Amino acid sequence: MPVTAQTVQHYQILAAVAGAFALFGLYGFFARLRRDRAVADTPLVHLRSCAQGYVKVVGQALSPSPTPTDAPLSGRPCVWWDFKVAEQRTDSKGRHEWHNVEQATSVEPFVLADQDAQCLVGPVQAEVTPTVHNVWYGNSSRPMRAPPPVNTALFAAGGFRYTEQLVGVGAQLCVVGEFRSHSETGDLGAAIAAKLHEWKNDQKTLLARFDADHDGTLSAAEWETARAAAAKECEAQNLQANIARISVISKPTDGRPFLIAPLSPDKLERRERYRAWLYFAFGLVCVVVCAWALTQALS
Amino acid sequence: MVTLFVLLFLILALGGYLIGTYNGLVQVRAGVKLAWSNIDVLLVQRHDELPKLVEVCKQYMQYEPGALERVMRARAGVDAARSSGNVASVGTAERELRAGLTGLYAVAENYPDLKASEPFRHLQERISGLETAIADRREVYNDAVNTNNVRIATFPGNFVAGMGNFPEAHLLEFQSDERSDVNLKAAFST
Repeated sequence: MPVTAQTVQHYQILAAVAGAFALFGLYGFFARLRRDRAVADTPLVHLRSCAQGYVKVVGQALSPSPTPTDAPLSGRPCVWWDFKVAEQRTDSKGRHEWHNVEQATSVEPFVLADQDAQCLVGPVQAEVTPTVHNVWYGNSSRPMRAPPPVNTALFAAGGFRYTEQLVGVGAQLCVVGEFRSHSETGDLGAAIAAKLHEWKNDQKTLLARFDADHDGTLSAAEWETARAAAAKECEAQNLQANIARISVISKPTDGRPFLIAPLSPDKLERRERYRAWLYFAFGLVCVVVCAWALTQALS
Repeated sequence: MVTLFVLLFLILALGGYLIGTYNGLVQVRAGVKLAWSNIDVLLVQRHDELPKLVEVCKQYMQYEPGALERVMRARAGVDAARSSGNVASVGTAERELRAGLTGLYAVAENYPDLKASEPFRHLQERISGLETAIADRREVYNDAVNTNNVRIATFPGNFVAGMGNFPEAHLLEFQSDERSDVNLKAAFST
């Protein structure tokens, strides 16, 4: 077969693309190895005695409120969701393509509880492995029916595709991330306003305490005195109250991975290692293709 | 050319893998130090709480100086071992302190007024909480030590560890006597 300039150009493009994929494979290999090490090298801790910093914990995912969050598309109860709605469109060449029309991910924290204690997990920027992943089809931008029990494109009917991922209530999770605690003293401004409101409901006592000139009304200066007294009382109550400690696991600030997965720590570690070697194999194949294409282009 | 490219890819992957292994060992070594610091914080907190407990007990237990002295002696022992940074001696001193506290609580049973007093109950709860946290963090520390020791003993960690300062870490053991078999015959002989 005669080698034309166009064929040479095709080989060059193939070599460039394969080379780029080989580098991507190498990058993926190192990134996954890093995750594997992060999971393997971080000791599993109990929430009740968790120290501040990068931790690995295992527990049950629970809703922070009595009524769990509903998934936006299917309405199922969950602690975390992610959805995508894509619409099928036809381009000028008559090809059908899916275009995303709506996409969102839950940012609400959820509760992680182990045997003795619990904390919040803030899933923003986490790599979440869902417990449920559904893809189904319909004719409107919002699904009119629940997802089928099995994901299949065989019965794909309708111009809209719905993809929904959930972490169900009660799922057993392994979370690797940064653990931070802070003390919750409450909103002092709101407490002062509530106290003043309470005093206003009892006008007699309010006047007895703060109506210095006994004219039956509170002047601006007298009202200011009442405000100061309410602030002082609220501050004293805050100091005496048991300060609630709230702990949250969130994305580490030093760039280490933040993983949420319904797997045991061992399985999570193994999964990351397998993925690392898959990336390596992919990169190796791409290098072979790249070298072969270059050989063809140069011959 | 194919062989050359494959070799180049493998060299890059191997180089990156070895760098990653080295960095991983550094991370693991730092993890052991961090886990130890996390225990140390609690040991200091308990060190500060114990004199308060002894002071409260003194008001009711004037005739039991032995139990109180044993706790204070063991407390000083833990502090000295902690300051030296010797993990094995911390384990021994900690065992002594736990035995002392168990003895103190047993003697306190004979003093209903002491047991009912709010400061005593509060301090006992606080110290028990700290002991539970210390036990939990000991597990975490031993887990970190085990990871470190396995990593520097297995390939390719042992190869990379030879190029830097990656010493073996020591496990923290408190209750060696609890591991010995219970003598049932002796227990039921009375």
